Amino acid sequence: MPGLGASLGRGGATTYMQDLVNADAILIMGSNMAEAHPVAFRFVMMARERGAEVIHVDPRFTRTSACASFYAPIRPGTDIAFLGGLIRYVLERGLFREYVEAYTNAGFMVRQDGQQLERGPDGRPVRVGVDHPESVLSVLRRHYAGYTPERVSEVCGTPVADFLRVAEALVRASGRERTACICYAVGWTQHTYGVQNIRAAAILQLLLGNVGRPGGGILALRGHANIQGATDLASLYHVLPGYLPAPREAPEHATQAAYLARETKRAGLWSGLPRYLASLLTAWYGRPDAYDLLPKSDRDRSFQAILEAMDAGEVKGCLVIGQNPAAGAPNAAFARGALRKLEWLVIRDYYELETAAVWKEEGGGTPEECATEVFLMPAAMAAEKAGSLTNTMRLVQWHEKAVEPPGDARSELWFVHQLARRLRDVVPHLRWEYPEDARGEPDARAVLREINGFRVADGSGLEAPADLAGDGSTACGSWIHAGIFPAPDRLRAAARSAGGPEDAGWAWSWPMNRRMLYNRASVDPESGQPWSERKAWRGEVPDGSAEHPFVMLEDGVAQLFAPGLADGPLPRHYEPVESPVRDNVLEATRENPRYRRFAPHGNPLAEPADPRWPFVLTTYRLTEHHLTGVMTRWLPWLAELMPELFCEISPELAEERGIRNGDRVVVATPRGEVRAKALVTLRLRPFRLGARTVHAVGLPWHFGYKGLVRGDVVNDLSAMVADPNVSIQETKAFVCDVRKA
Amino acid sequence: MPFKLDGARTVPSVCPYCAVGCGLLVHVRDGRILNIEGDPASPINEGTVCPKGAAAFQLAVNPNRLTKLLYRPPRARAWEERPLDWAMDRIARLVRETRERTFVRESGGMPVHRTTAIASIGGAVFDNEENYLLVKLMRGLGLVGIENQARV
Repeated sequence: MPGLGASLGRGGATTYMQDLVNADAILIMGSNMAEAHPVAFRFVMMARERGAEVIHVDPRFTRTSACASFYAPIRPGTDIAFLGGLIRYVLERGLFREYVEAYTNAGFMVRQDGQQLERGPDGRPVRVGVDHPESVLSVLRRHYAGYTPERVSEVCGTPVADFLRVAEALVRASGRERTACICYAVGWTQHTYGVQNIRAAAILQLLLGNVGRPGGGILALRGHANIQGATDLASLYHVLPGYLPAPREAPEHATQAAYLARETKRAGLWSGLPRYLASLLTAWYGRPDAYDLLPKSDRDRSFQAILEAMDAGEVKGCLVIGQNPAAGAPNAAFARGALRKLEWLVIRDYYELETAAVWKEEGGGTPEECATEVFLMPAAMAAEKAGSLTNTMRLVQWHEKAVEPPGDARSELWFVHQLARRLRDVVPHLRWEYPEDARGEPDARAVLREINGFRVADGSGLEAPADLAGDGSTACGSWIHAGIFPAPDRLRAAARSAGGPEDAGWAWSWPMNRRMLYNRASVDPESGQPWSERKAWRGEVPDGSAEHPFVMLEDGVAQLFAPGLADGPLPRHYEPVESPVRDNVLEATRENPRYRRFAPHGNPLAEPADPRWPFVLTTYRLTEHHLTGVMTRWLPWLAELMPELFCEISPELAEERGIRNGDRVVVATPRGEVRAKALVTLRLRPFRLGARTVHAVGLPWHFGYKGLVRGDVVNDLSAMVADPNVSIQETKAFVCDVRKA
Repeated sequence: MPFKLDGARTVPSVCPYCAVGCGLLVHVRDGRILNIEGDPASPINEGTVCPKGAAAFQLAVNPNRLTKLLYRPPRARAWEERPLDWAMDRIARLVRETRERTFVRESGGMPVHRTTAIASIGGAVFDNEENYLLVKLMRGLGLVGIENQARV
């Protein structure tokens, strides 16, 4: 997520889960960690037993709230207002001044336009000191001056006393002797300002001095077994493996030289981009100057843009591997219609999921009218193949094949390799040398060796990113993974010796097996000693230098002020695109002026404060189901535990609409309707925004029209709108109506 | 045999559900999975698992699971079983033809080597090596519409 990347340098959790036990306070926000990541939540409970204050800020009172020291309610979609209020409070009463001066750009000068830093002729930022009126810190103070506790309360519906309790707890738990950690999940990211939510959290943690220190940091809680790895290895339109920007059709990317001139940074690890790119091109095409062969993207080709282009007839064929857009895409009915327009569709999965049945009546199709050629291919599971998965804390864990997959089921490695063999003449330039077994399955170890990188002359493995060369003498599939498998007998992702500092003997985490990123920020630069004995970092792999612990960033320090994002260098509170609130009392514009909207013809939106859709709707997960349920709704054990779709509403809203607990209700938005059983519960409370009341409605999104247990597709309700930086959808806050069925 | 796991081989694995990455132990005998449980040695879960992880066995060993390749011709009302090799040949032919029809070699005077007519969706539930190889082939073919669940 660029929120972390733009602030700190790397798009990954800054620390490891076990480190939560070292925290003096843990703020969980944008996440129901106890139910969505129960095993990671163990460490939160251990921290609480050791005296840490656990704070949960969420629209719903969940099991996470029940286990917390205290809970504060918040209206869905107003997290930046809340965090902005915390930032203001910390600037007044809790700033860790020495940390901020040493390790952030607080003392750099902001240019007149307010968008960039002032830089000298050598490209270095102009340092004016944090007290200068044009310093980043001064700009930050002015930016959040209006985010007072009273205004935060009016926007978020959080009582002032609850807000202040959170602020005081964080300040109390930060400084030389203490640290606080923040945990978040998609409750923060799935908004039209998702990147800025994470930015706001990073600013807060930096002001408190909580990054790169034991018990501190920001723990991103990812939701899929390998979402971190799939992002690192770049099954995403906008990046190449290791986060190299994917080339675009633009003059600044016209040639390899132009691309490198544009994207290589003056200092920090991104100054090595020419070597990373050359080694990637050598791994793919056998030569370091093969940039011309890389496809250049013409525009946004993100997930929702693909569905839009599919509906328009531009996308004619699609591979869907382990994903379920027929139920998981925002405005899923639109996605199903788009899938039915394909000429051909290849689906690889474990069960006959909703996406494989879009042409059937149950998926909304008419078989005779759907000309799509559909392949449903059984896929192998983790225990049926060898390979590695990267967890939420960048930890790459190798798994061995335990058994052969059943019947026609095969691994994705097999599928890609067999397809490549059949298309050899189409891509003769691709370097493709993988030993295969009797079934035609390529060797996963050989692939990981290529990801790790090797010297072309003798095949010897690279030990570290520093070993990558720019002249074609090294090949490397992903520079951040250099060192994971440097020699045939050193598959470090398979290491299984726990214990010791940071449990660093268990598997391997990028980069360089660092468990805690930016850890050199754990020392006082004056003395070179830890900020305190209590918070001394004792890990094994230092990150950067004491002067420049944020080594990925050009200036070597963390960015409180982060130029380059589409919606500005500092987060602002915006209302969700669909919201019952007409005005924004904190900022000049109501919604993010740069938000993206897709397929307007098939994606109607409610007007601001539209009386037809008066309630806020938020969607979420349950412990017993996973995503759209493809890995849970076909399992009797789990289907029985959580058999049907329900809708959470407060007793007040239930009374207003004449709904009793257990009634069938209809939840409607401008895109569609779903039916669910009403769960009238005190877990959802009406939000008081000054004089008015706003009700929220909650729906889990795990159901669909296939499987052992079925239910309406909740994503038929959500809209195709997105954040301007990364095109992430907004499914955590939109509007609805609810009525008795 | 007196005990379920007598003579079973133990293979360390990783939970396939969320991204916490709990260690699992897979017990195997005669090429069949007998049991899956939490790995006590893992510093992440120390043997514990959540309800989903506890059901990992049933995810793999399940009569509802797909084991045959299914094919649905245009406008047909039902699936047909077809051989795996036939399907791979057919898919390769469709990829080849669609690409040939839509491939753009140059645009605005610069080499762009792309097709926007084929897309690849998914990545978050399969391995790093698989993601890497998929991306290598898809980019090699000229795809720019490559996406996983990171934005969902």
